Amino acid sequence: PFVSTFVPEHVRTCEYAGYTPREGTGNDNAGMHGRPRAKADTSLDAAQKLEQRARRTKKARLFGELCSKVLDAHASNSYDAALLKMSEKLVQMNPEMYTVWNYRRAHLAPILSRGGDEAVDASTRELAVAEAALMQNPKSYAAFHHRKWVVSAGFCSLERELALVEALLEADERNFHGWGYRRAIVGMMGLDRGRELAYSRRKIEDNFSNYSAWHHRSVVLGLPAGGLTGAVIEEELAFVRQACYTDPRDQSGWFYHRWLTGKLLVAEDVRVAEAEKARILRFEIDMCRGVHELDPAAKWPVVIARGLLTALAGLVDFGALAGASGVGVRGEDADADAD
Amino acid sequence: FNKSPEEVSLTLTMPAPRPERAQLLVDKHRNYIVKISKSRDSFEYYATEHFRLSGIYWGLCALYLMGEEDALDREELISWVLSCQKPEGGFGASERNDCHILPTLSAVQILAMVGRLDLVDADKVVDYVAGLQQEDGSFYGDYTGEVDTRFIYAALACLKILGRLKDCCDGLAGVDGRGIDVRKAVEYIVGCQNFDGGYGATPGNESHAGQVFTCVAALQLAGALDKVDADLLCWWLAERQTASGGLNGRPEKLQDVCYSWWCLSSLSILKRLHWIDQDRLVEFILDCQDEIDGGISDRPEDQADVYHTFFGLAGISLLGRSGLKPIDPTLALPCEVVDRLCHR
Repeated sequence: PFVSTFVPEHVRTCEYAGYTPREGTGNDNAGMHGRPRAKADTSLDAAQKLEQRARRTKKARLFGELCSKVLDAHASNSYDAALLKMSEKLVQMNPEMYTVWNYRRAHLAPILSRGGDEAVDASTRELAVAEAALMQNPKSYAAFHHRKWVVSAGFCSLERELALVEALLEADERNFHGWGYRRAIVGMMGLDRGRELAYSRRKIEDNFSNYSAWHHRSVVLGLPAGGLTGAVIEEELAFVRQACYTDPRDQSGWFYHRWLTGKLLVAEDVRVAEAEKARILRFEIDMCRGVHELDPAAKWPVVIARGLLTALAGLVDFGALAGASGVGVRGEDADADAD
Repeated sequence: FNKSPEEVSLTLTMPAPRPERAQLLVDKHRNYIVKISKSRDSFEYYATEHFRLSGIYWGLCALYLMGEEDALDREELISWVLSCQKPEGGFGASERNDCHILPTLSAVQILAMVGRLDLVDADKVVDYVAGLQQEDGSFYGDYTGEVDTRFIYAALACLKILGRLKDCCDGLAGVDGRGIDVRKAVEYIVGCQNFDGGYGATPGNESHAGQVFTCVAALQLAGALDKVDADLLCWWLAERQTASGGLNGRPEKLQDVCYSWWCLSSLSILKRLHWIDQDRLVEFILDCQDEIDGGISDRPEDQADVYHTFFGLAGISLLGRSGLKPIDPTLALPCEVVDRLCHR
């Protein structure tokens, strides 16, 4: 049987030496990542060092006091304008402080449930607080959760949320929180498959290496309602081919390519004749050969081609078992086998 | 096309790791963790309060792997952990933080390591955790309703450590007729599987090594590892290794020591640890050590922290190097702690 989710044989047999020629780019998580070592500043004299230490201690103490005031207020369910302002400052300095968001939600929830203009105003103000927090840390789970919580109450514009998330993804196209939030908002609006395919296409055309956009595409196309037809698979193969040629060493397009051929071969709802499948596979193998000739040192065309060849060989056998059409396929491939 | 991938693959020459960092600096890391645990008035102390309980777990487990679990004051530790428990049965990240499923797991992990699970009312914890499950099998993190596959892992791991998971898997009730619907939780995880065989936080979310770990480990705990497309996923995980030898969490992102755990533990559970270049990875982790002040950072020359110190050591332990105690890839606890739990 052909391999629907082939894994390169050399990986399976431990000949693999994992590598990616291009180092990862872009931000990683705020907080504990990407911070260079704080080297002792040898340019400071003793007095300056004392001053620096005093400043740091003061900063810590002030922050500690802010935390204490707000967390004590939360424990005693006390709210006033000053405390709420302090809590706003806290979440904007440190968006992952989930208990402080809980404090704000506890205050906000009854206002939202009463509805009316008051709810709309409160919702708008709260979204501004969450937005400031996200500017500080665009990858904060707690800030996104809070935003979703406010939005779910229904007093704000989903179009504006979509615009916000598009701005976020302009700044960092791989922010999975942003992509997830987009899918949540789009789900609330009612999924427009065409719009999502157009958006992901735009992001990919900006940068073929946008794995998050390829992933988004796989979600939209893989949804039951849409479904993947043979025609759609061929269109997508044509699209991803550009990525494979443009940057043979970037894995994003190649993983997507593997998914498409896998679906072509095994998805029950993809009704394509065996002979057609074989034709498409042969075309893609030729594509790999073409890319390999352009960049002989790139591993992906070789790795993917191996899998496709395995699949093709399996397809031919399967075709033989299938009856009349199988005999035709096998006969047709008698010369291909010699390749 | 006549070449093998090995011939085709280039091996880029990376600069050799600094000799001062060529060995695992166990003493320095022990001292670093003890020092951090004592610093009570720094800015960092307040700024990290929202995950302090997890920080203690990372620190204690790291010490345990080095055979230095007694370096922290046990009684003080236990008393502080218990002060984080809330009436609902769950634990908050600190005594001033609301309870949440993630610090609840950390609390249970810490108490397991110090051998004092008897101090916790297991029924209450199970009840709290079970109460967070939703109809579709997913789990809230707390009453405010955030959904993430990490929380399914936290729930199952909690119950496993407390010795209550088998009940739920057998379909028997937990506390007062309320247990965890393991079958539904598995269904939800399966719904989070992506085109690349990986898993995201919710259905449709991009594969991320951290989420992959939580989903694979959760499926392992649920006895449903057959639901994983192991070859496909482990290929994706193997491709996390970059020229530096380190692992990233997603395609085209930077390598980071913490992925030594998230990727490695998944590979280990799925019995394909040999699919990465282990020597290069160990070299990378060692190069991330702070040879002056101790601790391990995300990348060489960066600032160390307890999180990366733990995950770097955990990665080395999983690969059986440097004389560290073995760590269980599913529960992220020393194997001897897990053995003690199993022989209750």
